[in-house]
Amino acid sequence: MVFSSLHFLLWFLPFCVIVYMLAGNRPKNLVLLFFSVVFYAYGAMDNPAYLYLILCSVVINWIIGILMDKRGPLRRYWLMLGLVWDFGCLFIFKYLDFFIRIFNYVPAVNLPLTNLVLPLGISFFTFQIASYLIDVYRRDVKVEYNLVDLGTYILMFPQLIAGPIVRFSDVQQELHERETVWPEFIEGLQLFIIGLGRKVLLANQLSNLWSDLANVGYESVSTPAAWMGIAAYSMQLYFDFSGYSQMAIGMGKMFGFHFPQNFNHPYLSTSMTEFWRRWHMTLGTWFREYVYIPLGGNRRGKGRMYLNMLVVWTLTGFWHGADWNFILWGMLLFLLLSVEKAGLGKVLNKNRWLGHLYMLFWIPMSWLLFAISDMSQLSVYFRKLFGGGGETLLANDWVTYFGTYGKFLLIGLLFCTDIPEKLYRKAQKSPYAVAICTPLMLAVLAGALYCIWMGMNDPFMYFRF
Amino acid sequence: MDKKTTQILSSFLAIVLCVAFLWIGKHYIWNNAVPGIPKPDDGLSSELTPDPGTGSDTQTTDLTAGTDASQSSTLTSSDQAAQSSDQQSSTTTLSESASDTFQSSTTSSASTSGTESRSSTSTAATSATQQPFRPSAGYTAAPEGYFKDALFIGDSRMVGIASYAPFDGANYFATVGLATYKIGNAKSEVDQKGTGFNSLLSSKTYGKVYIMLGINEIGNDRTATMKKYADLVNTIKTAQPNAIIYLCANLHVTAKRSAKGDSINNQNINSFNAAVKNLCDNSTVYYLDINPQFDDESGCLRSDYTNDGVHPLAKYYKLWAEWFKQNVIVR
Repeated sequence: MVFSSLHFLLWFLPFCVIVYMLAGNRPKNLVLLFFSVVFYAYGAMDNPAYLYLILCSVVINWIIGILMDKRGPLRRYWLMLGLVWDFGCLFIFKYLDFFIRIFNYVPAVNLPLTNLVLPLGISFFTFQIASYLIDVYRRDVKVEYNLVDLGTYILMFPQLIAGPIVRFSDVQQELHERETVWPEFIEGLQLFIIGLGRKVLLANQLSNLWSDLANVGYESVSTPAAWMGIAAYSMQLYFDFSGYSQMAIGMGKMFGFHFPQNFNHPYLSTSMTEFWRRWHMTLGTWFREYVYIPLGGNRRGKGRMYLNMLVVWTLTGFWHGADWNFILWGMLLFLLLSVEKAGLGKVLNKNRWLGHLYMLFWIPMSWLLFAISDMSQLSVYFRKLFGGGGETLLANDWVTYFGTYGKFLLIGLLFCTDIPEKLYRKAQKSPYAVAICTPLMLAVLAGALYCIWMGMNDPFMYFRF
Repeated sequence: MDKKTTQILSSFLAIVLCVAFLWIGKHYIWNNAVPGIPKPDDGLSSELTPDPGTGSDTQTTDLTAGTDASQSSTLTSSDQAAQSSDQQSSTTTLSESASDTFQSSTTSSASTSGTESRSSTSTAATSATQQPFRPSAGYTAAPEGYFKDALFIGDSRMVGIASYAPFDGANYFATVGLATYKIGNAKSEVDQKGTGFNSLLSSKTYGKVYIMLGINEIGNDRTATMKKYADLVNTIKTAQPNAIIYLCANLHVTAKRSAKGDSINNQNINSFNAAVKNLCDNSTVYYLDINPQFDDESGCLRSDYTNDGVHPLAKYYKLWAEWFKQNVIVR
């Protein structure tokens, strides 16, 4: 069940909110857990076994957490066991086929592929569970003895399948004691609606341009159309993913949780380093806390620092998908970040306009690697961007595309900046807040529902990961 | 002004603003008019839902036509009124008719070889993809200027041909999602933008009329659909008595798309095409089947010819048009 489906918007969420509000203080987590399991079960309908997998995972991690509470030499092994289980699941379901394919390059080896379907949200909940285990091991958080509370933390449906990756320390307090106050509820609702609008009214519309190009064939489109396509893809990815995060954070607020921010206008960055501090921030934090710093970070000399960065970015790339293009993408980011660390970053920070230009080129370039997993197609598209890559069939096809999608590109460009948000905040503080914000929210909600109703809908992109 | 009045006034203002936002959004931004470019899968899924209730006669031009004409069906012809009255019953007849049309398709494929044997030579042509096609039996290559008085009618695939490989001087009446039951209300999306079908048909004397329809109504009741199709052919015959009419087979979809589980599968396409072929008399109405050229060994659209499984890539639209050029009737 995706957030932008009528089932979710008209039935699941209202029903869940009402039951939650009526339930009173005590069984709040139980209600949330129940609805989250229903949510997951609905999503995993084609593979019911996956529901048991995630439930097993919760129980196993709960037990291991408790076992680690005792002092003693065994703690280390319990941690290892837990991590092996968590990352083992991730490996088997997400990466096994990739490695089998590699092994099959060896002559005389011909292993069958498993063709397993990726369990919904496994990349996200694995990271969340692992953060809990590691934090318990480090004694950064207290062990959670209540299975319902731990289960709620992991399975909570707003952030279950596509983040933000909430660390246990972020919500532990609120898991045990929280209340929903009316202004916060309204704030959360607004965030949810804005996120829905970003997803349905912008990302979905922009996605049509990208798929149009694919359906025409990259080798046949014109160079301006190719640039428009990759620009549209970049915006689509941003609005899709940040919209989802915003919906999750908004729903969290409605239930009294404060999830960490996941996006902070990343397209306003002036360097890749800054970009990755503002894009999918919870993932960046995770890698910093559990990979980069444990490896020594930047405290063990320059060489070691670059090595650590290489590890982090390879893993980041790999996390996004089990394919070569994602590894290549991670490598590109590593290169850019290294060059920036070595001195370019200072230049870019001083000349912000230069930084914006630099990012204007590298943001779409890096997403290109992200977008196309077929290497030969990738090369065609790349050459197309610079005038080569095959015969253009319609020299002015981009005029047609701009006629159809230009408005979304322009609106998208506006929403990549922080101007709309600033204006909205201003309007909220003005005495006419009710007259401006309420109809705007209602219009966005109604418009989004209308678009979904008309079938201009598709699932969130980040479900693949 | 006291506080209450302000609140009431601002509430009214809120309602007005909300309506204004919605109106501007619906009409100017999210109006979803997609000119020129074939829409991807996305569009297909909405256009392909069997919708027997929306039928309005091909001969009658409906004034209420718009983007959401499906919501407001005003005219229903006699045969479809029966269907639309009860959705439940129409779905049951749908599955029955699917099973018996399957049988008819197997029998008709056996008889194909007799009349115009194109299928036997086809496998050789598929391998030499970029080569110009040879005319099939009974057809010749088009002389210079052949398509100057031609009219092409079709769905998203025709939009693709019109966009990427238009013939000099030819007219195209094509929109994404076009179906025989929609044609009276439809407005062309390419070439003669915004022109209604009937006004286009009466605007000029056409020597050739190509029809390529069916995929968007392939899950609907077959008998009713074929009646609509035959009505359309008759309308054209009456309006353009001297025209050669070509009925084009619906292009297959890929094996993967066919296995997706909805009505868009090659079995349905084959049975539909067989029914289309039955409407041909080989004196004014001829049948054209591109599929042997674009099929793989299993009789499905070659997967390297397409991205979404339904629409060929632009360069293959060009190839398709080339094939049209090589397969015409000259009188």
